[in-house]
Amino acid sequence: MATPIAHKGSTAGAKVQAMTALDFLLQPELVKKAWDYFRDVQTKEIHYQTFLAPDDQPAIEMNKEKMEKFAPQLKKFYYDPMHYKTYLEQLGIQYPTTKTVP
Amino acid sequence: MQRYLHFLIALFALSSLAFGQPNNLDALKKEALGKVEARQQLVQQMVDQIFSYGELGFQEVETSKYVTGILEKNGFTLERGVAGIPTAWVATYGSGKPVIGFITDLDCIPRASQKPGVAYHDPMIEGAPGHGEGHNSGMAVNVTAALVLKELMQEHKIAGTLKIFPGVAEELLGTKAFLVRAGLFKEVDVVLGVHVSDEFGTGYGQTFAPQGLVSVQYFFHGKASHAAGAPWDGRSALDAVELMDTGWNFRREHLRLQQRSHYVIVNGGDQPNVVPSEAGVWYYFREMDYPHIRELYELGDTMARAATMMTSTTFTKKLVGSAWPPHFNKVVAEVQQKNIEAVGMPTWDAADQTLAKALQKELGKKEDGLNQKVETLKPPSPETEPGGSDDVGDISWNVPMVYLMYPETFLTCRATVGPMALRWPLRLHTKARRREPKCRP
Repeated sequence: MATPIAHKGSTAGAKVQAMTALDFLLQPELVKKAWDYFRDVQTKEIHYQTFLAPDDQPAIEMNKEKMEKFAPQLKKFYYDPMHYKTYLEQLGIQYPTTKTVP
Repeated sequence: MQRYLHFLIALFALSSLAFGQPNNLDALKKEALGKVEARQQLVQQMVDQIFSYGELGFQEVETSKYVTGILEKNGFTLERGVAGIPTAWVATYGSGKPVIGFITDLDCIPRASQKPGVAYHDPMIEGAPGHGEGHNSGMAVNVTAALVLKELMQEHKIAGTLKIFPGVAEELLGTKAFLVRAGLFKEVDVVLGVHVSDEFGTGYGQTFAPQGLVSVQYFFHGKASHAAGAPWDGRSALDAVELMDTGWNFRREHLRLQQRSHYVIVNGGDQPNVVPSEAGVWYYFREMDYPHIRELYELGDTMARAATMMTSTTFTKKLVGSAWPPHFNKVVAEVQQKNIEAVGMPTWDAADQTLAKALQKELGKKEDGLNQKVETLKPPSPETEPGGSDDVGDISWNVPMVYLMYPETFLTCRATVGPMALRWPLRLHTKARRREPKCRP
């Protein structure tokens, strides 16, 4: 969704991603430990093999017709951050909109 | 005095030797938090922009253009159209080891168009696709983190490489096996994936989307004829579809309880007076591990072959997607858990809770609003847990990987993320459960 809930949750998620990346960028022994687990526990007996046959290709034609149908309609509603502080503001939606006033 | 000073210097040198790294790390993390906070507007814009694009799997044209544009502008090197997928790309910054990968989905769901912030079914465009599952917010998470990390790496001369990947067509489980086949993860040391959730947490082992799958379309080819004038001249491809489905449904009783399989008929012919020369059916074969999934897939092929023998037709097939059951790395998950606890759950205000509770009410769920606390580290799922799949599974078997669940919604999967549930009101009566897998294809 495009709501303050998503904005807050995504900000919190970005913080954790940055912190965890720093853990691994600055502590090479942690990278080693992760690989020790990967080799000695996770893939000790199970080895990856693909489900793909050699001639299988990505199904890039999927959804093409549906998007061709709807993209022109969606385009009218693309978010314009130059003119609106939020998408809710652009759409003129009061946040939150509920059936009954609580 | 002199001796005392020497002692102090020695003590300082010792302490910086012993604690230099963690102290430095703590300081850097603190700096990272500040830099993310400073980019809240970027987060908001990315979440809103990608939501407004509402693009389905493999057609994420505007979305990919937008995200790669931001990364390129910020000094990341872009490789586009990787693995034979026009909307897939890899963005790289830095050099040397370690190589940290980031991945998250960006595609949406058919017919899930919905006005944001509205607690009842109210599509923006009737029948249009929409971000019902919340794949619009993952790139805000990863790109913001990547820009912050790049700045820190520059300012503090930190060695290493950042690689950002898109989860193209995740709703179709359509690309990760191809990204792996193209060798894109060969040099990567750790992959940090993110996915929306009602929770803030992580886990290890086979969890979150515990089943793997093969998604395949069977196309039957027969012979058209007039269904009243000369039916004996025709060979019905639709008959083959129906016989394959009937065979599968009888066989279902004798499959393991862990299996989940389902199908839709994608082509049933044109009109009743023409014996259908072309018909097609799309199957998902899900199980808990590679050998069992492979077994189901081969059984599907057998059913299709048998159906052609009964109907004097032929068949071809097209693999649409595949996914290993993910296995998340315990070491990385434990590190990530500490960071989740340090960051803590966002503070939801009254408006957020009003929206959450109103939608829960609309769906006949317990009106308990948004989660207030972060989760404890999630252990592997029991085999009997309700299913779902995610094609990041293939990555997780090639490189240590975790999945961060970040809070973006207020409904568990069975209740199903907002508009998806609004589309399928039957789901209102399924009982909400805790600790169930997220909304996965």
